[in-house]
Amino acid sequence: MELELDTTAAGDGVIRIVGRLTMVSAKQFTAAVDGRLADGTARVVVDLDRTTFMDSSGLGALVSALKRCRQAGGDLRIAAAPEQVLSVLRLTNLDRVLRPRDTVEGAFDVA
Amino acid sequence: MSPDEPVAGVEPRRRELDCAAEPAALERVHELIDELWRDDDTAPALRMRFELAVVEIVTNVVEHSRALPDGRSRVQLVAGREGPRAYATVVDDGRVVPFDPTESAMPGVEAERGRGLALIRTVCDEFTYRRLPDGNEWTIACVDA
Repeated sequence: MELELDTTAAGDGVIRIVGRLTMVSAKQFTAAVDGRLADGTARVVVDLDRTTFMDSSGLGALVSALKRCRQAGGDLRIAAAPEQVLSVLRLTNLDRVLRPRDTVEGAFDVA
Repeated sequence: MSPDEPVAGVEPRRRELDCAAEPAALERVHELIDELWRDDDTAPALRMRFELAVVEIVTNVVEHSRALPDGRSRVQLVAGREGPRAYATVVDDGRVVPFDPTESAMPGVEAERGRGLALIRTVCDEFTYRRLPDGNEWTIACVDA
């Protein structure tokens, strides 16, 4: 897995996950979220457009990141999730707390 | 058909893996499943369920097996496809699983752990676990709907 960092036009942090988010890569993702929080960016969009696979370890890392962004006064949104990721979110009922957004730029448009 | 021709999706395919139970094993698992679906774009939903279940089992083995003196263990995987069915057997030489993994419930949305076994239950049509004399054996099967 590789991570790409970006910023939306509105100034929100973007973390793009390229490849698989599993036990192997969860720590790297967590470190990237911590990095954004340390920089004062607590509104984070996770761009999943190029995420080829996610499992329960990956989901756990997302839930943990969501909590930490909220504790810092921000929020975490997920965007452009492919079918495999959407499927895992639905199976675990996590689509209720990590509601999939269509686009990165619009991820913070509605509450 | 010559031996060099790709095997059609409906033809039985079987692959094996035997490696140290460490995170790198996960990459090998994905490669093995890639091979089971090589040159075959049928049954993508089956692949999705099957790949998730196998990865969850091997992750569990890697995280919890502690049999060898250096703290590591081995994991063996046999996986295959036959008709609409994808099956796998995972054997490790790790410690006793202190509960019945086939009875795991899905934790609440706040949980950061504990979804793996519940996911296997959800996506597989068959899921068995048994303690071996010196390890654990997990079997799963997913059947294309």
